[in-house]
Parts: sequence; C-alpha cells; structure tokens
Amino acid sequence: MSVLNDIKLKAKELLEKGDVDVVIGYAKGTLNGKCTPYFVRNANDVENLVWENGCDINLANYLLKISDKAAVIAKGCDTRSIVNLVKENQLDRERVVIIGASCPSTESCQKCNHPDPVIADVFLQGETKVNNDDFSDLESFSKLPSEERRNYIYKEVSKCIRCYACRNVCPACYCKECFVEENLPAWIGKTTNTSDNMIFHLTRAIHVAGRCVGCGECVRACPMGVDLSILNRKIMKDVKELFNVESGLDLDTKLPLNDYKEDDPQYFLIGGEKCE
Amino acid sequence: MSKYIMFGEELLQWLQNLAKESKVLAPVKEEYGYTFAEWDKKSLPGDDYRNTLKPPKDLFFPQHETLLKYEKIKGENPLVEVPDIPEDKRVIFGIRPCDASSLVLLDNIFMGEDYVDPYYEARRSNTLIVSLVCRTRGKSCFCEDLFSTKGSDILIIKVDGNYLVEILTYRGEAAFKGIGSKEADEKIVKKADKLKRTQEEVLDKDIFEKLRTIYDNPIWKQLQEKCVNCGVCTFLCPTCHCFDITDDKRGKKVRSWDSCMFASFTKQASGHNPRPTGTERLRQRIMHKFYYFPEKYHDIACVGCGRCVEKCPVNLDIRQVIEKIRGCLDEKSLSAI
Repeated sequence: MSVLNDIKLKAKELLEKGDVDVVIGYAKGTLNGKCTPYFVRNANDVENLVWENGCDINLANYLLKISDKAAVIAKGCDTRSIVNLVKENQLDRERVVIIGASCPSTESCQKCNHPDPVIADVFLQGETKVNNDDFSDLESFSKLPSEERRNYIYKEVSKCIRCYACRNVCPACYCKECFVEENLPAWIGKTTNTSDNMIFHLTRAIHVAGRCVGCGECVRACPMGVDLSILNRKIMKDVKELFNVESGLDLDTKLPLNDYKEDDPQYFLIGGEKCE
Repeated sequence: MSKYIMFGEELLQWLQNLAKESKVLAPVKEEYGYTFAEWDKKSLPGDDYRNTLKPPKDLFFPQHETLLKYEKIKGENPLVEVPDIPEDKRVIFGIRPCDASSLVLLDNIFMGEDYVDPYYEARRSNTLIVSLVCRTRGKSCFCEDLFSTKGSDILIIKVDGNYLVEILTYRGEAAFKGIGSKEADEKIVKKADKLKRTQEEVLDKDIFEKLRTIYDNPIWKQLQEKCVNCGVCTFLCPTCHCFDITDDKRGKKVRSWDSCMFASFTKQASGHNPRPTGTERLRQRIMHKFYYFPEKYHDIACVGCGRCVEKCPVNLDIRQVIEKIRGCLDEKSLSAI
C-alpha cells in the first residue's frame, strides 16, 4: 500500500512540476486480476493508479510510442527492457523518468531473478521475492527424447493464429517493418500452417537473442496459449554461458550480439569450430 | 415453427444420425480451450463450455484460402485452375447464438447484392446451424439476447436437464424430420421463457449518431493510447472480415485475413498509408463496426461475444471504448476531462 502511495505522490509531483507530460503506469482492468496500462496526464488522475498483482504488462514498449517527456512506473523487467532500448539508440534516457518499484506480481514469472528495477531515477522498494534462476527447466527439457522436444515445439507453434500479439507487446521487437509483413520479397507465407508459423517464431526468437530479458509478455499476450519461452530461455542461457552477459542489467555493457570481438566463441557457426 | 422436448439420450441419438450423412462439428475441449472440431459422436459439451476460443468464421471464411491457381506457359494463355467448391454437408452443433448471428452479418459481405463468394456460399448452404443457448453470461460477454435465434436453423435450450429444441428454418425442419420427439408443452416453453434474459444494451443505436460527428475528434488518439496494434481483437472477432489477396510464387492467388490493427493494413504500393498510425486504425475498427457497417447493412457488426475483451493483451475493452465515445460530446467537453 505504501509503495502505491509513494508512486502516486511521485507521479503527482512530476506532473505538477511539469517535469513530465505523462506518467505511464497501471489502472484497474475490467477483468479479474488484470491491470491495464494507464496514461496519467492530469495530476488528479494519479488516484486511479494501482500497483498490485496483475500489473504485469511490460510498459517499456509505450515509451517508444509516445513522444512526450514521460515518467514510467517500472519493475525489474521493464527497466531491463528500457536499458536495452537506450543501448540500441531507440530511446533517449534523458526523456524518461523511471519511477522504479519492486515487482508487485505474486503469481507470474516464477523464474524471474530480477523483480527489482536495475536502473531508476527514484526507487520505491517494496517486498521482493528473488528467485534463483538455475535454468533447471531447460535441463529437464533437454533430457527429453528429441522427438518429444520437437513435438512440444510443433504443438505450441501450431496453435498460433499469427495475430502478432507476442511481437507487438515485446519491447525487443521494435522493428518499424517486420519481415513477416514484407511482400517484396515475401519471406514467409501467410498461412498458419506449422511451417510458416515456425519461420515466424524461430526468426523472432533468434532476432531477440541477447536482447530478450525474459519478461514473459509474449506468453501472457498470446490468445491461443502458445508458450515458446523455452526457446528464448535456451538462447538466454547460451548468451550467458558464451558471453557471460545477462541482458539489460546495466547501461554500459554492450549487447553481446550487437558487438564483435575477434575471440568471440563461434562454434555454433557452420564450420565454426575449425576457426582459430 | 415447432418446439420439441428431448432427453439427453435422444439428442445424442439424433446427432449420431445426422453424423451418418454429415460431418458434425462440435466444441471440443483442447488444452487451452474449446474449438470446433469433428464431433466424437458420444459426448455433449460440458458445463465448463462457455464458448470456443476462436469464432466460427473460419469454418466459412478460412484464414487462408486459395482462390485460384495459374501456370504460365510460354507462348500460350496461362493455365488457370479453380479449386473445387466445397460440397461436404456439415452440421455445426453447439455454436452459441451470438456466433450464429455473426454469420448473418457475414452473409451481407460474402452473399450480398453486389457479390456472391462461391466458396463461402457453398459452405453456408451446406451447413446446418444448431445452436446451444448459454446458461449465463460470461464476465466479458455483452450480447443483448442470450436466446437470439438469428442465424440458427435450430436453437437448443437446456431446461431442467432436458433440451427444448426450437426449429427455426425449413432446413432445420428437414433435419428433424421423422424424429419421434415429444412436442414441447406449454409448461416447459413458459419455463424456458422465464430463463430468457436480455440485458441493457451496451451497443444501442445512439452510438451510430455519435460516430457520425466525431471522425476528427481527439478522443481517438486517447482511446488508442494503450493499443499495441496486434490482431487479437480482429482475428478473434466473429464479424471482422477484412482480407488481403496476394499471389504466391507458385502461381496461387490466395485470400488471407487482414486486420485493420496491422501497420501494413491499407498500405499502398507507393508506401503511402492513409491510416498511418494506431489512431486511424483504431478509429477504423470502431467506425467499421458501429458506423460503416450499419450504414450499409442496417446492423452493427458486433454480436457481444466478448472475445476481444477477454483476450486483448492490454485489456483495451471495447465496452469502455463505446462508453467513452458515448460520453464524449465535442472537443470542448473533451478537453475539460
């Protein structure tokens, strides 16, 4: 309760002083347990802000959509996405005031080990539950016979209706033009059969490699219950092991796959293991 | 037309008989929700069946459909091949009345005065619609009449563990011919009538008049603020029917669903898009449903199934959108909010 109070006070202050034009946070949604993004432009409306279980939508996305000077109420994953957006020159750090607060979620993201903001202009600490991510889910998945693993991925992919909710809610998916919508040339068919869907999902997973912060927004957004987080997590683990980088933790480290070093591991390239 | 009363067993038997000559599609529970699939010929939808995850439109207007194939032959006219018109007889059992009524709305588009789509028409005329009335409204539902008969050949209402079967069309009558079921007596019909629940209209007609005047209103910008422009609402909408026709490399002309929410929607060959941002796109979605469609076909293009409410990743609730539009008088009052 007190964190929410502090959030409201800070938001009010920023708006009244004219430091920002808008504060992006959450309000109560119309469905049980669901909060909805809320844009406060009038200081009196801070009363509608909430900070509770269900405030899970990654708000970093909206900073790209809005050109005003904005404050954002951000939990761990939102701040990690913001860090990456700043590093990739998509977002001007100066334009954003980060009101950081510990993630209020009590249910989702069991694997999250960064519920607290990694950067903030103001940090309102709440009660945080840090989970140690040992990638044990990947370990048990990789022990399955390859056919079972393939069947799982096929099953998930086949549910997709190509509404692109996963892509559109993803702060790492900010391309102005996405390959799936290009038709000269058409990189991918428009059907929802497994092969077309697979191209979409695999390309997306690879494209967010080293940039995905594991916020889980793609899984939550999917209307059909597609859960391919195992792919993203596998890549996260690889990036961590190969480059010793966890995405979006600080503003200084370069994103590993946006950078090139002579001694980069490259055994995963065709013929790569032969390189000196 | 007639009304009958059936026990569960009788209903099953009738459906089993239908299944002998038609493909019966029914809501089948899958991992994440119900979907229309071939009926298992033994069970009826369970009590947890609220509605199918996807609307039934793709059973008539598939998400992706080959309209024709062609092959270039040097020095000759191209070879054109038209796919077969679907001929299989189908029964859709257990469709909700909201979804059944959406088919009548789609008929305006695909079986209208100006144009009849042969693929859609074939599927429509081969399919018997047997709808099953909901017992309660879901939390995101906002249909006006739980018992709407629009679009159904037969409407089934569960009363006291039995089924009141209402025959609504000649096609429905033909499918029920020779069934020895008891005609429903007055008592049971009255009992069903008591269940009838209409609700205050979320979508009353005044919204049409309001939309006429607010095309350039800044409210659209405000309404779309949290929209991420994905296709959930339109793909899961039983009445959304925008499509795109493209040629693939192998000489196929295909029609696939499009969505006004997408950045590529109405993007022209020059690169220009008359609907460049989310503001114009959300406006298009709302105007199409509640203004353009009614203007042309005298009915709103929304049946209140609530799928868009339930599944929107950011909880952009169309009921609230309508409410806000209703409340927005003019630019002056808007700026005072």
